[in-house]
Amino acid sequence: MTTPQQFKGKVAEHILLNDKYQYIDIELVEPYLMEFLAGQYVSIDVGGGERRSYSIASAPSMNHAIELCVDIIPGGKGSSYLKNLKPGDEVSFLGPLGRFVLRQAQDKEQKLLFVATGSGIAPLRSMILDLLERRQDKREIWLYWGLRNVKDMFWEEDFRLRRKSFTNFNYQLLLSQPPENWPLESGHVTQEIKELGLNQDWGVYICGNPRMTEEIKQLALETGVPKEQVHFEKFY
Amino acid sequence: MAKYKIKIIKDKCIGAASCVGIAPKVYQLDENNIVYVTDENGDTPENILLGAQSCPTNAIEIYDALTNKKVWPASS
Repeated sequence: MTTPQQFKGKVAEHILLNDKYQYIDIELVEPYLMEFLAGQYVSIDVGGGERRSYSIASAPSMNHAIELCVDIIPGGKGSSYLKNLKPGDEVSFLGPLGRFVLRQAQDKEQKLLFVATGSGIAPLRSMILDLLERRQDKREIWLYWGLRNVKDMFWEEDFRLRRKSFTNFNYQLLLSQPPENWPLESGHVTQEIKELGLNQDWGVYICGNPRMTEEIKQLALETGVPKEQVHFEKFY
Repeated sequence: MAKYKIKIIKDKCIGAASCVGIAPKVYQLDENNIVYVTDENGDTPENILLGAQSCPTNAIEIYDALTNKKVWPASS
């Protein structure tokens, strides 16, 4: 893994995706390139001597910038700082950090399951993009992403297009509070995954709220996925 | 004498290991993936502080060894 170091970057794009989530594209300035592994995160200086950690949502192949997908938490120090960023603003951060990365053991992890809730999609997006586009990985890949309701949805079209482009990529977005007559999938990710048939051939990558993370982790272990093939990052 | 004293708040540690990535001769994870200090003199004060600052849950507190004043996290 690359040794973490201090970076300066400039905001290239900032989009409020909806009331709950925001997207930020930060172009690296000094140094202007960062080598990182899909799934890693950065620690951003949010002012007042405080730092907040955010997973990189972009693929490692884009090493001149980082894309972030962040919760908008009313009163949150980090999300307030980020929410006020405008294109051209300078950002200081430390990175890359973290060990929640894809394992090299392809012979053991013959199929891959990615499970996210909310902004937990960020590191998994980086991993999936890396697998499909750079590594041209042909293993069966499943992504289950839980959001609360229609207003929270984002990147939906992005993942559906990739499902069309890559025949080994399977994707399900689940709304836990769908509107009436919702035509797509709904429910909780835990229940859906029980029907997947997990066993010792799977690698499982989980990111999101602590409760869901624990439930999926336990489910994976109970269905025979070896402990070393269950990887998780809890978002608090 | 080390410039800093390091205090680990074990309940806060989630095993992210960013501290290990920055200062592996100071911070390591035990068998439960919880950080512990191997050597308070194991790296430069800058890297020791950076390791603490990189922690996503502020599980590492840094104190000035002479004054006992808390250096990091700054606001808690």
